[in-house]
Amino acid sequence: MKGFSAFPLPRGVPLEHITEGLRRFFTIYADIFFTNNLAIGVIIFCVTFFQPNVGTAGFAAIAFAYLFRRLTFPAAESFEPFYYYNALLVGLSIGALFRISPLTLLMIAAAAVFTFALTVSLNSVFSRYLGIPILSFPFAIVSSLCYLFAIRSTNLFVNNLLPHTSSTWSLAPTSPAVTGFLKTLGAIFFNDTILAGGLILLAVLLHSRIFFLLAAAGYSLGALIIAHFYGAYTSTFANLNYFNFILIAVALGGIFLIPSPRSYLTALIAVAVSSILLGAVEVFWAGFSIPIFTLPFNLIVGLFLHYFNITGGARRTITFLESPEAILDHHINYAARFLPPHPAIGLPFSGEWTLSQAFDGEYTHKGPWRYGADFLIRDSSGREHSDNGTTLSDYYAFGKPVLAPVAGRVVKIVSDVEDNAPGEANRAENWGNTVLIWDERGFYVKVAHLAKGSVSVTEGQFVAHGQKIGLCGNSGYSPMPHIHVQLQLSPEANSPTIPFCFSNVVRDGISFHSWLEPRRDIVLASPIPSSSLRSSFSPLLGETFLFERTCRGRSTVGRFEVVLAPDGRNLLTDGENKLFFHTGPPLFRFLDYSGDRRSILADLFRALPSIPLIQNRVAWSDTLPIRPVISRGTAEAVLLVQSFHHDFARIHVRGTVESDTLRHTKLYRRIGRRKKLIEEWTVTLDRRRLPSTLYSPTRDVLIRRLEP
Amino acid sequence: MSEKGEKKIYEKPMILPQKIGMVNKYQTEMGRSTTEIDGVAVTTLLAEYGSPLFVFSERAIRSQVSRFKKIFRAFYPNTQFAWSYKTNYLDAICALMHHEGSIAEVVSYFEYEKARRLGVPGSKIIFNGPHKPPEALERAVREEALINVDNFDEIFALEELAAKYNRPVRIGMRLNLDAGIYPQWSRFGFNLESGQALSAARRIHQGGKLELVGLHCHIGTFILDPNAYARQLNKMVDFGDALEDDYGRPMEYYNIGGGLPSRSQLKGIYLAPDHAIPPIDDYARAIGEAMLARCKPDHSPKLYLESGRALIDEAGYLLTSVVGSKRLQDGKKTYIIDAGVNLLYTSHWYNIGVKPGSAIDGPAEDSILYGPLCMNIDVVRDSIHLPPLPVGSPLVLHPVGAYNVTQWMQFIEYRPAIVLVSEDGTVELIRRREALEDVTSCESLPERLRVSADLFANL
Repeated sequence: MKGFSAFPLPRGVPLEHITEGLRRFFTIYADIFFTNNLAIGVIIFCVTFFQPNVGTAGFAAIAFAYLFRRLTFPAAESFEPFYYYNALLVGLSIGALFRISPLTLLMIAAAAVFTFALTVSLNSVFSRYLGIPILSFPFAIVSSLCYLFAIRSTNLFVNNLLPHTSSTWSLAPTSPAVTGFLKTLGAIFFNDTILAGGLILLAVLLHSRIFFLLAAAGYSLGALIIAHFYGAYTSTFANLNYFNFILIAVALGGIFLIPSPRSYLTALIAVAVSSILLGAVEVFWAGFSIPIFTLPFNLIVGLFLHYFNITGGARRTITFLESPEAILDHHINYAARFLPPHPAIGLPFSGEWTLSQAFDGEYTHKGPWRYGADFLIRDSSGREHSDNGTTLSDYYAFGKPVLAPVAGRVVKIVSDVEDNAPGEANRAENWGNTVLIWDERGFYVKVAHLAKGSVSVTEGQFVAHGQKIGLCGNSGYSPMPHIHVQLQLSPEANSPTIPFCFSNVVRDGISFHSWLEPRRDIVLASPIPSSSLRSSFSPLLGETFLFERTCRGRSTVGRFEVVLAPDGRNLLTDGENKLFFHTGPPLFRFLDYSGDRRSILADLFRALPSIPLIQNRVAWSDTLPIRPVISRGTAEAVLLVQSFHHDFARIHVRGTVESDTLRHTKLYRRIGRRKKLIEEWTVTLDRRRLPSTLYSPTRDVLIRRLEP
Repeated sequence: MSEKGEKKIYEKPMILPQKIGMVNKYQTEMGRSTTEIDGVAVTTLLAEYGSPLFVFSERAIRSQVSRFKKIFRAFYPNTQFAWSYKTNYLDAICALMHHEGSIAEVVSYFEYEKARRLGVPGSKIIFNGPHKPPEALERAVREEALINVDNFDEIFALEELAAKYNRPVRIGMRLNLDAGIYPQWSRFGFNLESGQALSAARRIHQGGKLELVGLHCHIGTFILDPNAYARQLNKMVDFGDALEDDYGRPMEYYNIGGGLPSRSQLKGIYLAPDHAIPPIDDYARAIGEAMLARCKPDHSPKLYLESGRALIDEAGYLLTSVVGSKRLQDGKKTYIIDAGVNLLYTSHWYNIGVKPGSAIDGPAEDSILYGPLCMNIDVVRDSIHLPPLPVGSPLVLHPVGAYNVTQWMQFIEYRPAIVLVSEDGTVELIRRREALEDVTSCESLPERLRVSADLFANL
């Protein structure tokens, strides 16, 4: 029950228009099960029509909500499924009680409009002030109100009551747990039959094993806890309100929190906690003889998510995808590719410097000041100076420019501390000449031991990343010229330091890293941007590319257009498959892929998930999500295990520069401890946009860019 | 100190004025000897490979190149060195330079072919020089070498090649300009101040067949003023910016040539090289800061340096031996050694350092070193303080790594062997001593001129 990014309807082609419209329509149904999977949507749609009255009422509610939307906001172009599933649920709830008639339709219309307006309003309030999703709050509120209203609507009752529906909510036959589970699943869609429940269960099983396990575990735990309190072990499985346990377990365990042992535990705790709420609400609502709908689910999930917003205890899902497996795959890969473990800063120098002391260093990086990095220049024989090192100018580092490692405001400078003779250290003025820069990301960067009088910025000045701020010196506690960098959260001179890492560096002249934690004796340099590579990897909006893929003698041609997604990302698409990308500097990256694993775009993603837009001829590495790379069955099984142990599997990509126009990539699959080379690609670039050929000898695939 | 019983060689008595060398407290030329190179004894080298012998130190080359790279990149990161082949195009030396991350800079078709043969891809060769024969130019275009055009005729030739291959040819333009130093090298490339360069750029643009992507300029050699490079770069970048404004293409590289000095003693300069020559940091600072100051955001053009002498000179030694000595009429001591100006072209401009290759006692005396040639001009040093050197004494001449092994002559002697002392102290032969066949193999004698013993029967 969370919105999926929608795309503007394509114009002009009626068939595509209809297909897209249908896809979005069924997504409304799928949304109830936290997915945009078309098959799930269609199955749920069919299940609601097992009782034609219920199905029709649901459909009518969507129609009324949509009409209201068009009436009040005619300019609306896009039809976002997200805003309609609450209305659908309200429609279903009315249809479960009353036969379709003009009066019922009037009620459905009023309720649908009510729900739609409430959805839009609550969504705004919840997302802005609470940071939690609206789930099915509007449905729970409006349906409860409708049922309360119906108590006095004698006319409605007399003429339109569905004969069998009254028993739906008071039915209490003794049945085994499985039957109870199935009926409860069906009851989510107001159809508590074993057939409906069975069909939904089958769809769920095919769709996501994590979903299934959470649903089963949540249901059993909730039902058993209440059974223990009530002492009624057989009748507990007959309570249809327990679908709240299913929804709570799935929402917290696999959708809103990234699937992990912690999210699973959270889900089970939330189910246990919700049993009190559910029991209590039942008692209260029973006074009016109305069902509790999804009220416990909404309150508990909303509460837990808000709790995590405040405490930051669990990793929230950022991008919602079709299944818990997809969410897991995406987020593990996203963290590995885009989230540095610590704040990342640039290098404070030009050229190649050696990191001589890292965190918890053996000399001075200790205690509260253990997170520091020292840099100096060493020659090929490992010495820091020429001649005998008795004067400062013998040291390679001395007098070399020091650059601002971040963009920010200079808040403090010290520039009048004498430079020590080699081997001596100034214990009184520890940091010597320093520049302290406030970075808007929320920390201060201190650069220390600059040469006396060399600081070339002033307090209050804004500096750009890479701007010269002074010269390397030997002031303060520094026995030989070097640059010291540290991050701190407050501006005082002796503030404790925090860990950090360096972004976009070339290590030891052989490999490019998007970020790298400081380690002793590594040689770091900033990469040199390549404007020609950059222009080759800047596909323009609206530009189209033709690629021909030849695999074992069979050729297919794909036409791909560059379009802008509503979230601001660029993507290549043939209408069906989507390949998101971002152009650096310093990297061009294919961010994410959704669609068929065997399409040309999937091959592009695998062959060159990223390419540094730099002149340095260095290797680089990357990781890929599992699902676009390995076969569906294996991937789903691996992801199920991975939800218990995130480090269980990875797809590693190693890229090397063969020549100006040739890149080579290798894909490794690691499952458990076993690592295996699964694909190799040779990518040829020319001066035009995107690679001209991609060839994989291991898969016998050749992709050529054709003239559009 | 001869042992008892050994007969001393008689020498006519002489009165010598007491001298302590040149009156300069820094002067360290006297009183020391160089008995080993990277741990290998000079006498061992001579015994094994004969005299004279060129010796190169791999350690010295590698440390110098990596030090230069580090220092220059500490001021301007996008700095790329291009090994100036003419300074020393021995395969092993060039290969070392390439292993240390330099590309190639050649100034003739011979050098181009040598670089290609060594395995340097065409696109990693900078092709300079005033004489690029048609076949050279065509091959360079085909192999996408970085050609710096020298004159209008070359532009026309390149345009024809672009038409022939039906694709634009990317070129650089060589400039000459006034960087405030004397002499001004004005014979290479297009003059900047007179507007010649601008009209050449216009011509290139209007021709539509060539793409001007870089600028090259070499202001001279052994430049002792670091700021000359800053002035040169500022002028080049001004010109590059003007071209970008006019034609919309930013310069991809600026090539400032070479000319960085080595620690050689230039004739006519009194101070020792350590004091007369600014440290390399000063050059790197002047060049790097000028470049950095002129960089536009998001565009850091490549800076090429074609340094030759500064990288190799001090890594090269020439071991030679005393073959005889005599005293001139004016009483001056002279020695004849087996290496002369035939092997030391650079001794015309530099006072090459000479040190005994073994510890020799005795009062130092102002002496002249003559080479082996039967020519009056063959003087290696016209004044140097040396202890008395018996015949066979080894001498070490240093620094001699730059130009000598390319500009040497075969004139009346065989050119000596060259060895490389590797970092672990092993000695590898990288050029064997010449033999008679090496000289005669290029010759052919017409049958009618055949020489036989009969010819001399009646002489």
